[in-house]
Order: sequence, then structure tokens, then C-alpha cells
Amino acid sequence: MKLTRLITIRSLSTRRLRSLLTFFGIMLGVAAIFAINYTNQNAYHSITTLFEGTAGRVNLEIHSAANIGGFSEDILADVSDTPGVSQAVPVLKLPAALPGEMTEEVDLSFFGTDAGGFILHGIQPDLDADIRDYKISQGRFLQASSEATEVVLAEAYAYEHELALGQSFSVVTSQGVAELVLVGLLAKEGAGLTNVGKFGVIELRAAQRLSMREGQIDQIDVVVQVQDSNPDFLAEVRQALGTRLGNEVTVLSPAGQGDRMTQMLSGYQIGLNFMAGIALFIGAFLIYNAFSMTIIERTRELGLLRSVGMTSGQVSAQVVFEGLLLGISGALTGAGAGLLLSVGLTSLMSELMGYDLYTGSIPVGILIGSIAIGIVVTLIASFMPARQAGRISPLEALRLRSHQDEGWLIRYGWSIGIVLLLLSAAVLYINPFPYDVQFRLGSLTVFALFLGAMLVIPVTLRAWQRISKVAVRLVFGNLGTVGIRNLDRARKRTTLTCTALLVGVSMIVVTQGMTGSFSADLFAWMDAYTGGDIFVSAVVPITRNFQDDLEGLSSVETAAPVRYIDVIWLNELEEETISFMGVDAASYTNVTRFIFSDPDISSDQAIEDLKKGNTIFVSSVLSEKYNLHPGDQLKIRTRQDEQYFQIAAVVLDFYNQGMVVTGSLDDLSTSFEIADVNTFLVRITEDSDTTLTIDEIYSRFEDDYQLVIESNRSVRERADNLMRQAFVMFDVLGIIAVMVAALGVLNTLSMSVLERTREIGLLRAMGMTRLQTIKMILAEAALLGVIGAILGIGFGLALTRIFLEAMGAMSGYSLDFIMPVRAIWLGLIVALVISQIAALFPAIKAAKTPVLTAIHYE
Amino acid sequence: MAVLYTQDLHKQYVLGQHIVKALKGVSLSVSQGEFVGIMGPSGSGKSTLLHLLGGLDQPTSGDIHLADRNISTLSDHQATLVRRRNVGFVFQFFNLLPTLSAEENILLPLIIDGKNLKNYQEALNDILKKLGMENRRHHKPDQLSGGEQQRVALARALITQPAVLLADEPTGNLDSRSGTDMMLLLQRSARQFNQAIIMVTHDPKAAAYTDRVVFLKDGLIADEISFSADDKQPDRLHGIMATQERLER
Ligand SMILES: Nc1ncnc2c1ncn2[C@@H]1O[C@H](COP(=O)(O)OP(=O)(O)OP(=O)(O)O)[C@@H](O)[C@H]1O
Ligand SMILES: [Mg+2]
Repeated sequence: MKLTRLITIRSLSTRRLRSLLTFFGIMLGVAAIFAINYTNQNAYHSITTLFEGTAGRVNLEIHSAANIGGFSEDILADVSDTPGVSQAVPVLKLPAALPGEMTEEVDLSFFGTDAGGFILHGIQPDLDADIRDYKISQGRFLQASSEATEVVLAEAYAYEHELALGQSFSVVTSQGVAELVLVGLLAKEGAGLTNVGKFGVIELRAAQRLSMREGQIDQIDVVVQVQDSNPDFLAEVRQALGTRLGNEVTVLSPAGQGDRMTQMLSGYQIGLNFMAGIALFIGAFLIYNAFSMTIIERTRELGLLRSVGMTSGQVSAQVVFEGLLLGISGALTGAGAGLLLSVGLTSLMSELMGYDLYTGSIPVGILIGSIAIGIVVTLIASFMPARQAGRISPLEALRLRSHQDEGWLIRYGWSIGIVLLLLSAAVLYINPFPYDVQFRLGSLTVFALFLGAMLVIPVTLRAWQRISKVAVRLVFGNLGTVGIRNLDRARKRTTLTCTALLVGVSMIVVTQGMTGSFSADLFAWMDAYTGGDIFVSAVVPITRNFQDDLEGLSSVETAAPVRYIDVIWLNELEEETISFMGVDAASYTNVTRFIFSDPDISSDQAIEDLKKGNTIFVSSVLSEKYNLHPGDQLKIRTRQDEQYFQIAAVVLDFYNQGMVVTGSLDDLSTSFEIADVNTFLVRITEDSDTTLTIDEIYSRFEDDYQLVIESNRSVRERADNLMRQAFVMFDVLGIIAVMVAALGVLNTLSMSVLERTREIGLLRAMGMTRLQTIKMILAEAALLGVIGAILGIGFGLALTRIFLEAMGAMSGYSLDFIMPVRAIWLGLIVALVISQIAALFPAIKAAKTPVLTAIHYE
Repeated sequence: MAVLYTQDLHKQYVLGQHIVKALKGVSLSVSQGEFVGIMGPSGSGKSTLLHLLGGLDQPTSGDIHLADRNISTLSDHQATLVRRRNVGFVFQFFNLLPTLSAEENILLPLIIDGKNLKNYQEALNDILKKLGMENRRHHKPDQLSGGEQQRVALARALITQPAVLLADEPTGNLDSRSGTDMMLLLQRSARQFNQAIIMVTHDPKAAAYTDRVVFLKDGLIADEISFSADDKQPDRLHGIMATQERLER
């Protein structure tokens, strides 16, 4: 056995390139798995701590029925009296802004949470501290009796705005400017995470005074008596509260918000996990590939060992041992690389979600898991070649073969491949499965499709050679056609390499295709959403009359007021919080337009309907997700009671991830008693300049309002960036896949060259120049690249369609498939360039082989 | 007229601290249409000499003239082009590319030279016919016997009608019948195409088909016998074996 190990280590060190490639393959696979899972975990962890921390021990939340405006604090007594309630804690929310807080960027609210602006909570310090963790990092907490306007701020917010302890500063609220004194800072945990840290607390009375809402509160947080929060008991209390408090308020579970966020993330993660799975799969491929090659390369050597008495078990063990060594070292390094990768991915996710992700200690479970996966996959991948090695007969050492023995899978696998292809195509086409199994099945189908494509490669090699012959001759000369012949001498190897390329290319196509299809719709909407030239948003809602002020400027042609609020939609099953966009249809259509999903709809009629009131447009996302159509009615909770809104049209709208309806500003004020607005879309006159107009608006209204003004072009650019970032994860995986494919090509061609040393020597003896040698090898690589690219493009297009479908089914984003022409070219070019670059090294090595060495090579 | 001649050819291999003197001053001249055999004990430098003659390697000192060119100091690229146009090789083993058919293997030198293969169909058919390989033209090497493989190799060496044909133990692994066929073919093509053929062999029977046998020993020409066309095979064989025996003593 000792001898076996010695031979193994020798074999690893003499085949340094191969060992290194295999090592890299394992490393990349493990790194990808680890990084993705770690990042996912961080994201989940952040979201849960965020919601747990801010919700504290709260079991139920009481809001005003319409989810807007507050209610009388008299209810508090009723709540406390309700049986089962242990504590009832009032909160008043006071949107505010620092005068110096001049964000130049409008909040983009379609990807992650809409962090919104700074918010002050008016609380009763003693009560609140009982149910939530206020960890004071500096200074002290609010004092219960204090009548001074003391404030405790989240520390990051205070640092960011350079506010020091004891400092007095002013904030702008809807009712004017107020002076506050900073007495304490909240650590970044528990309640300090509220509103992603743009948060502070003041005394409830002070808050009421500042907002001129004496006697009013926005929310009551309820803690029930049995702290096990037995769900039945909770439901009972909820029920009791509901009956007791009547229609004015609604009782909610605080977990709801977190769920929405997790749901959104999980869609994204399914995609990532799927990609990680594929990355692992190609990783395994590469390993299998590398080991098979080692076996081929060592056939004679192993045959010799057999002939001097090594048993076939010993030979197999030797190969498995080699796999074990590589697996362990590759997996360990991969975990390290994965750690680095996850740092990058996590900061990327943070960017996307709009707040810092928690990065805790290294998750031991995931670490061990991914290392184990790496090692196990390596062992499995080396096991088959090991068995093959064990079967080498001692005679093998003496035999010379033009092609290797091929397994039945290579010879007859194509029939299975075709069956798989047909079957998965049929499944995709008919799609007989319910919604929830759809995606899982979808990934299974993708896998079947992939396997099918792979199995069909070996029998099609001849055809590929024939088709490409003329082109190859043109590019690489006569010897190119001799080179490509070699692809079918080891069809297994060729197949594996093509498949690796296929995966890489298809990932490029999928990423680009998805982004393309996604951005086409998104940009159409962005265009309307940020209609006109300038986007003016008020940090604190302002009067509608500001429209006249804006239009009074000579450079402004028209301005359209818009107001977003959250409303509660009562659908048959549950209460769903959605955004309500109130517009003034007349001025809105002057500045921008609605994008109706149904092109045949009479847009004038729809807009007229909207003006009439009690009418809304729903987003295509809502329409698809809940099967809503024009003519249907939506029951929405209003200020007084509930009210039906008639759907007039379906429009493209991704605000708040598409959970949005559009109605009129007049409805907003009659039904929801909201008269102020927070956004103006501005169209400037033809000969005005955007930047100058922005400056003018700032300078004219700076003193009166807190405005954030941005040109539409820059909003759109940022949206574009955000989008691309969302897909960077996929890009990273794509790059890993392409790298793995490159390693595969390098591996295959090195092997091919090595095997053919004598042939190359012979050709050189006959007068083949070095350049011709290189071209011959490059031709071989080029055909590999072309096969991989074409199959990869086809596969990628199919995958894009499946993903789009799945996404539509899951989230309601229904997107039109747009042929990603650029991605197709990119995939083709990447495959060709990668295969040529990877082939260059073996090609040069081949050309450098001295003729005589080649002839003597045994 | 000599198409190939060498002057005081030396070849040394440096192996670490060892210097192996494979050739120690060989002067040889071969005329057009001449069929020369090279014999000698194992390690005497036969293959080394053949490789130098074909421009596969460079001598340590001395000159080699092939088709009016001194090829002893050519760059790799130039040597490659000289080989391509002027030299044909037949090796003992492994002469064919396993992925190509017999016919394609034969055409290989033309493919390498970027020739239009259509112009060579007649020559190809001619050679295949001569070698009795017409119905084997589409076979892959692993579907051919050893003798057939060597015939294909010979056909390939002949297709460009090179001035010099070099063969290193071409009959090494053939049975005596195939070996004899091969010798007759070589003999014929030397006459017909006016080629200089130099063949390394261990087999006195094969050497008996040549015009002249050069004996190498320890990197030097130890002896040489020439035959006239009238010499009978047994006499030739006898002469060769006698010389071999004398040199071994
Ligand atoms: N590449 C090399 N490196 C070092 N020494 C070499 C090399 N090639 C040949 N030699 C040595 O040069 C000498 C001549 O070798 P060569 O192959 O020419 O002999 P040969 O006459 O062809 O023998 P055989 O009949 O066994 O083929 C031998 O001693 C051999 O060991
Ligand atoms: Mg020899």
C-alpha cells in the first residue's frame, strides 16, 4: 500500500498541469457553493434580525384600518382591557428630515425594501423599553418624565450626519422645523435597526406636539399574556381585539412584512442555487474528465504495473487515493476562496437591498457541507475512472490503439439522450403541473434537457466535422481538417469538454437574455414612471398646490403631482398591503403616459374612467398573480370603511415589485383623506436645460420644502445599474462556468497533444512546420468551441424561456422573451476565444516537441 | 551524380556528464537512383546517421549536402521545408495517423504542402495499384495488416517523388514474404523514379536487394560492399554475412 501511495504522489507531481487543473476545478466548485450559501444565509439572517429586532416581543400590531393616518389614543385603554393582552404600547410615526440631509438621489423602490427617509417614533420610553431592546451605545435613553424634546438616534445615522451627543439640532417635519437635543445613541441591533437605521425615538407627547396630532397615535404594539405565543391563543386575542375595536383599526401580525421580503429573496435564491448546482455539476465533470484522462495517459504504465503483479483492486485504490488527495486539498482551498467571494457577493446584496447585510461568524455547517460536497463529488468522479483503471489488462501495455474503448453510454447513449430531449420538451410544452411543483420540476426538466444534449453529442461528432470542414480549411489550412478528425478518437473526452463549454455559454446567454427581457419591460415602465424630464420628490409630503409653483417657473412646461401610499387590499383570502399611486390623470398624461398591457384597449376611455373616480389601474404583476382583469373589483380598506374600486385597465408598473395600483388623487383625498403629495413629474420647455432647471427649483423652494430632485436620465441610469447588479451574481457564476470550461479545454487538448506526440513527430518529419502544428491543434479547439457554443446557445435560450416562465409563475413578473442577439454573439465569441486561448499552451508545446523525441516517444 | 553526401560527420549526445559519440566522422555519398543499405550492430549509429541525412537532427560537426544544399546548419523551419520537398521517410513502427484512411495517409505530405489534391488523383491510383492496395484505400490503419501499413507508409514516402527516401528498418516487423515484397518495391522505385534510397536494416536478406551495403561500427564506416546488377541473391547474402562476421570479430 505504501508503494501505491508513492506512485500516486509521483503521478500527481509528474502530471502537474493536470493535477493543477483538477485542483482548480474542485476549488472553483466548492468556492461557488460556499459563497452562494453563505451569502444567502447572511441575507436571511439580516432580514430576520431586522424584523425580529424591530418587532421585539410584539405579538400583534394595531394599525389604522386604511394603513394610513392614525387613530385616537383612547383606544389604548380598550386594548389593555381586552382579555389576554399583557401590554399595549403606543407609537406615533413622524416622518422627518434633517435640513442638511440633501440626498441627491430619489429612492428607487422596485427591487428591495424601500428604506424611505428618516423617521422618528414617538414612544412612551418606559413602556417601549419593556417590549423592545433599546441598546444604548452612548449617552442615555429618553427619560419618561422629561418634557424637553430629547431624541435618541440610531448611532450610524448620527455618525453619518455628524451629530454629537448633547448637540441640539433641527429637523423638518410636515408641520415645520423643530429643535431636538441628542441625548443617546442606539447600537446597531434590536430596535436600533428599525427603518434600516434611519431612525430615532422621541417622547410620544413631543411627537404629537410636533406633528400637531395631539391625542393621536399610529400604531399600538400588543404583547399577549401567554408568552409562548400559542398560535391559537394569539388568534383568539386577535379576534377579541378585532371585535372590540371595530372598523377603525386593523390587527396584524408583525411577521407579515418580513415574509414579503423573504419571499422576494427566495425567488432570487432559487435561481442562484440552481446555478450553483450546475457549477458543481460541471466541477464534477471536470474532475471526472481529468481522472479519465489520467487513466488514458497512464494506461501503459498501469498495464505494466498489472503485469508485474499489482491487483486490479490496488490499481483502483491508487486512483481513488489520488482523487482523495486532490479532493481534500481542492475543497479546503475552495472554502478559502469561497470566503473571499462571499465578501464580494454580500456587499453586492447589501447594495441591492439597500442596507448593510449582517456578516456573522463563518457558518461551520455550510463550511463543512461545501468541503464535504467537494470531496464526495471528487471521489465519485474518480471512482468510475478508477474502476476503468482496474480493468486494464496487463496486455494493454503492449497494444497500440487508434481510439479508446468506449462505454455503451457513448455508443448507445444517444437514444436515451433523444428520449430525454423529447420528454423534457414535452413536459415544458404541456406543463401539466400545479404551480408549486412547477419550479422544482422545471429545474429537473432543465437537467434532463442538459443531460439529453450531452448524450447526443458523441453520435453527432461526425456530422459536426463534416459541416465545419470547409470553414476549418479556410481558417486553419489543410491540416486543420486533419486536426478536427481527432475529436472523435476520444469521444467521451470531447463530449465532456463540449458540455463544459455548453454550460459556460448557456450561462452567458441566460444572464444576458434575462437581463435583456427584464430590462426591456422595466425600462418601458421606468420611462413612464420617471416621465418628463425631472423627478421632484418631497421628503415630507407637501401640498398639491406646489404644482402651480412649479408651473410658474418659465422653464417648466407642466408638472404632474403623484402620491404613493400603502393601502390594505382585502382579497378573498387575506389582507394584502399594496401601494396606491394617486395621480391627476390630466396632468399625468401631459407629462408621461400609462403603458397598457393590452395594446387594443382604448386608452382614452381608460383614462376617462380613472378621472371619474372609484376606478383604478392594476399592475400587470397583480393582474397575473391574482388573475385580475378589467371590470373586476378590488376591495380596499379606506379611512371610513371599505370600498370597491373598479379595474379599468392593466398597466405595466414595477413600483414596489409590482404590488401597486393607480388611482386618482381625488379618490385619495375623499376616501383616504390624504390631500398632500410627495412626487412631481416635471416636463421642461423645449429650450430649457435640465440641470439649470433643477438648480432653479432648488434655489427657489429650498427654504420652504425638503426636496430631492433628480433628472430622469440619472434615475434611469441608476435603475439600470441596480438591475445589472442584480444579475452580477449570475455573471459571477457564468464566469466560473466559463473558467471551468476553459480548464476543460486546456485539459482535453493537453491530453490530445500528449497522446499524439508520435503522430505529431511523424507529421513534423514529413515537413509540417511549427506554425502548421499550432494551427492544427487550434482547429481542433475551434471545433470544440463551436460545438459547445452552438449547443450552449440553444440550451441557454431554452433555459431563459423556462426561467422567465417560472419567474412569471412565482412572482407575477411576466416578461416577454426577447431574443438576446448580443448574448448569442457574446457566447459564440467567448467560446471560441476561450477555447483558442486554452489550446494555445498545448499547441505551442506540441510545436516545440523536437521531431526525434516525438519519434522515439513511447 | 551524388544527390546526397556527407563529409566527416560527427554526432555527440551529451547526457549529463556523459558524452555519447554516436557518429565519429562519417563520409558517405549516394547517387541518384542508388539503393544503399546501412548495417551494423545495435548502437553503432545507424538511426542517428539516417536522421541527420533526413534533416531531422543537426550534426555536431561536418556537412550534409542534400539536393545541392548544405542542410547541416539550417533552422528548424528551413529544415522542415527541405524535408517536405526532398525527403520521404519510412519508419519501423507507427508510420500512419490512426484517424486518417489509407488514402488520406498517403496524401498527407501533399496536404501539408497545401497542394491541390485533385492534381494527384492519377499518381495516387498509380501507386495504390502498384502496391496492390486499391481495395484498401478507405481502410483505417487499425484495419490494415502490418505489411499493408508499411506499404501505405511507402506509398506516402513516394507520392511526392522525393529525391531521397530514407527507411529505418522498414521490414522490422514484417514476415519474410511481405519483407521481400517491400524490398522489390524499393528496388523498383529507385530505378523508376531515379531516387536515392537509404535503408537501415538488420536483415541481411533485405540488404541483399540493395546496390551497396555500408557497414557501421562504433560510429564509423567499417566496411562497404557494392553489388553489380548481375550478382545473384545467394552470392550477395553470402558476401554480407561474411563481412558481418569479420567485423564482429
Ligand atoms: N537522443 C539520444 N540521446 C543520447 N544518446 C543517444 C540518443 N540517440 C541515440 N543515442 C546513442 O547513440 C548511439 C547510436 O544510436 P543509434 O540509435 O543511432 O543506434 P542504431 O545503430 O540505430 O541501433 P539499433 O540497431 O539498436 O537501432 C547509441 O549508443 C545510443 O545510445
Ligand atoms: Mg536504430
